[in-house]
Amino acid sequence: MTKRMVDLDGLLAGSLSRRTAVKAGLFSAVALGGIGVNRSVHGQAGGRLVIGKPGEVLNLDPHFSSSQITWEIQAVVYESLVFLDDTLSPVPGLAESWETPDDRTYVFALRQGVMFHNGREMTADDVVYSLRRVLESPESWWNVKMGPAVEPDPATVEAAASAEAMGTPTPVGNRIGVTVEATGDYQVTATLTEAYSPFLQSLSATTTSIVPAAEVESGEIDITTTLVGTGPFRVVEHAPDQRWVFGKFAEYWQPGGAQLDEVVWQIIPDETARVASLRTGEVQLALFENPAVLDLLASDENITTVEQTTTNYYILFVNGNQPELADQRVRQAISLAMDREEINQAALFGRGTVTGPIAQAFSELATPITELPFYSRDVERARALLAEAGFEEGLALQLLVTPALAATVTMAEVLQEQLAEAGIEIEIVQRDLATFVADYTDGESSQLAISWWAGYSDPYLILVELGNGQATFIGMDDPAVDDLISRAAAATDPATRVTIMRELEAAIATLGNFQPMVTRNNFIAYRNDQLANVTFAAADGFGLPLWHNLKDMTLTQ
Amino acid sequence: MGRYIATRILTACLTIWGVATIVFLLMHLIPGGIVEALAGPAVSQRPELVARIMEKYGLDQPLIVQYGKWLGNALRGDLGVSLGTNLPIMDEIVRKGRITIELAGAATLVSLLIGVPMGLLAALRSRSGVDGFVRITALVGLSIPDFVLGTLLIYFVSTRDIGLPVSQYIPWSDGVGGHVKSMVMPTFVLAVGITAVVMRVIRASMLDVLNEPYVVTARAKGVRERMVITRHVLRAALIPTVTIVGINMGYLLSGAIIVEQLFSVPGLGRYAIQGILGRDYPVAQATVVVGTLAFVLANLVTDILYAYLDPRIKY
Repeated sequence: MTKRMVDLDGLLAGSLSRRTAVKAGLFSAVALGGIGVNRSVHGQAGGRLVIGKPGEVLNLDPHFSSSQITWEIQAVVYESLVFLDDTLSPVPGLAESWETPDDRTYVFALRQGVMFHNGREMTADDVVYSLRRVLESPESWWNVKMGPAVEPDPATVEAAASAEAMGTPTPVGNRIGVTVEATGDYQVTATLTEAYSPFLQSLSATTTSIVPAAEVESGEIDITTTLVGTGPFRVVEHAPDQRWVFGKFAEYWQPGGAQLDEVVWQIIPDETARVASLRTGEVQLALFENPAVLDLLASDENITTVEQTTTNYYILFVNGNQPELADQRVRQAISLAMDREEINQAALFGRGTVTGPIAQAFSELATPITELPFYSRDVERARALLAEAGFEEGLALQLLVTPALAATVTMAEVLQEQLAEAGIEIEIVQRDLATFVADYTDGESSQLAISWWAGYSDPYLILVELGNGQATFIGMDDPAVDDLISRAAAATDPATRVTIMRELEAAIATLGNFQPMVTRNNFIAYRNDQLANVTFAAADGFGLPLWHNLKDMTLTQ
Repeated sequence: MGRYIATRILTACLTIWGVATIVFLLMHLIPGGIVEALAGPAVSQRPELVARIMEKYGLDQPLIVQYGKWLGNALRGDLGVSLGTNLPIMDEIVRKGRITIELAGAATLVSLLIGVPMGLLAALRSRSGVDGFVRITALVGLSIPDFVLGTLLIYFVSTRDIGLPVSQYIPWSDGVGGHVKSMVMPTFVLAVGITAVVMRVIRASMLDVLNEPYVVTARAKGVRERMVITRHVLRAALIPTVTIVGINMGYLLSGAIIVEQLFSVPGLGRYAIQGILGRDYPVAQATVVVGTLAFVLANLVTDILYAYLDPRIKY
C-alpha cells in the first residue's frame, strides 16, 4: 500500500506562510513518490472512471442543497465565481479577477467565452441572477454567510404581518446587506453595507453556483431535477438509486479541460460492498465513513488510501436550555472531563485531529488546543465545578446519537466512561437520523448530542451559526459572542482578525454549549493500478476531496 | 367462485385503504421530518426557512387536508413527487417495480426448481443419507440471515475472481450477459431462505400424504409407483407449498429490503427505506401501499390456485 497523508498542520509548522508552506508540502509529497503528477508518464486522456457513492442525492437545486452527498455531484457540474486553492484560499474561478476599490465594494471581471452545458455563453446577467437567487430567496440557508445581516425592509415585514393576520404564514427571510448588479457584459459589482472579510470565501461554495438565468427563469431548465452549469463534466444519464453518468464537456473553458471521457457515480449503499467493489476494480475510487476501512484495504498493493485533513468536525452539543445544563460551570465540567485524544483514538483510530471551535487546519487563526479554556482534561477541576454548581453528588444526563453517523456511537461510549470519572452518569440514546436531527435541533428534546458540521473554507462561515439567535437550540444566546461575530466579519486587517477570532474561540469554549472534539477527515481509497494523476487539496471543508481535482485525473489503461 | 372473488377484491380494497391511512398517520406522527432532511441540521432551527419549506410542500396544511389530497390523487393514479428528488413517484415505482418483480420472480423460480425435487427425494428416501443432507441444508438455509450470507458472498467474490460483479446492478440496456451476472448473487441470497422452506414443506406434506388411505388404495390397485407419486402424492403435497410460495412472493414483491441494499439493486425495497429514513412522506406512503397491494394480490392468486389444485375446495 502506498499511504499518503496530507497533513496541513504538520506542513505548516515553522514560520512559513500558509500558502508557501502547503506548496512546499505538496512538493515533498510528490517527491516521496506518493503520486504521479506528470501526465505524459503515467496516464492517458479518455476512458471511464467509476466512483462508488453511498447514496442518492437529495434536493438537486444547487442554491438550496445542504448535504454533502448532493454537493459531490454538483461540484463537477457547477462552478462559482471563486475557486479554492490547496490552502482553502480564494482564487479566481468564473471571475477572472476582482478589485476592491474600497472594503465594501467588489468588482468582478468575468471570464469571457465560458459556456453553459446547453451551449450558451455565460454573461453578467447569469451571475447576477444566481447570486440574487441565493441572497434573496427565503429558501436559502447559505445567505447568512454571504454578508452582513441587515434589518428586514419595513414594507416586507408589514406585508408579511398582514398576510399572517389573514391566516397565511409568510416568512420574511433573511435580509443580507449585499447588492449585486451587472456593471458590464462581463462585469459584476457587489456592494456591501459594511466591510465583510469572508465575502470571497462565501462565494466559493456549490451553494453559490452560477446557473443559466434565462433558461431557469423561463422554466426551460428545471434545476431541481437536472444540472446545467459551466463545469468540466455535464450530465449524460441519471438512473435513480443506481448511477449518475457524466461526460466530459468539450467546450469547457479551462485549457485542457477534463482528461476523462466519462465519470460514473455508481450508488453502492453498503460500505462493505464498496470495499469489495474497489478490491475487484469495479470501482476505481470511493470515499468511506469508517476509518477502519483504510486499514482493511492496507494489505492490497493496488489500492492507495488517503486521509485528507478537513475543517469538518464532530461536536458535542450541550443544551443550555435544560435545567441541569443551564449553569455554565456544568457545561465547563463536561468539557474538562473529556479526553478528546482518547475519543480520537477509540472512535477514529487516531485518524482525526483534536480541535476547538476553529479547526486546526486554519492554523493562522486557531488557538493551540492546550491554550483553549476548558480543553485540557482535569477531572478534579470538573468535580469542583460541578460541586460549585450544586451537583456534589454528580448528575445523570442523556446523550443522543445516531447510528447513521457510525463513529459518534463509539464516541458516546468513550465519553460515557470519561464523564463517569467526574461523577456524570451518561445514558446513551440512539435514534434514526431524521429523529436525531429533529431532537437535537428543537431545543427541548435533548440534553447532550454528538453530530458533525462542515467547517467550510473559513472558520467564520461555521461560527456565524452560533450568534444572533441562531444557536438558541443549545441555549446559546450571548451578546458578547454576537458582538465578536460581527467584529470578526468586519475585520479586514489580518492581525486584527486573528485577535478577534481567537477571542471568539475562547468565548465559545468558555460558554461550553458548543464543544468541537475532533475533526472528521475524508477517507479516500483508489486503485493505483488504474488511476493516475490523483491529487487532493491539502485541506477540505465541504467533504469534497475530488472537487477541483477530478478533471485532472486519468486512467492508466 | 365469481362472488367469492368479488368479495375478496372488496376486502382487498379495504385492507389497502386501511394500510394507507395508518401509514399516512404513522409517518406524520414519528418525530423528524423532511425539513430537517432538506434544510440540514445546521439550519433547521431557522423558523423562516422551515416555514418556507413546509409551505412549499403543503406540509403547513392541516393533516386532514393533506390526507384528503393525497388519497384523492392516489386514486387517480397520481402518487405525487418525491420531496427529496422531485421525480414523479409513479414513474419511479414502475421502474423499480420491474426490477423487484424480476428479482422476486427469479428467486421464487430458483427455489422451486431446487426445493421441490430435493424435498421429494428426501420424503421418498426418508431417514436416508439424502434425507439427512436435505434436512441439514434446509436448517442452515433457514437459519442464516440474508445479511450474513450476502456479506460473506460479497467477501468471497471480492477475493476470488469468478466473474461476477460484487455489488453493482447492471441494467438490461447495458447488455444481457452483464445484467444476468449482476442478478446472480442477489437472486441466490434471496432464494436460499425460500428454497429451505419449500424443501421442508414438500418433504413434510409428502410424508403426510404417503400414509393417507387413498395412497394405500392406489398402490393396492396396482397403480405404478411413479403414477402414485406424481398424480396423487405430489399434487396433494403441492397445496401447502403454494401457500408458502404465495406468502413469500408477497413479501418479496414488497421489496427484499436487505438484499437490495446489500447488492445495490435499485428496487422497491430500497426506495421504501429511503422514503422512511428521509421522511420523504409521499415516497414512504406510496411504497407501503404498493407493497400491500402486492401482498394482497399474491394472497388472492394463491387462494384461486387452491381451487384449481384441490378439487375438494369450493368457494
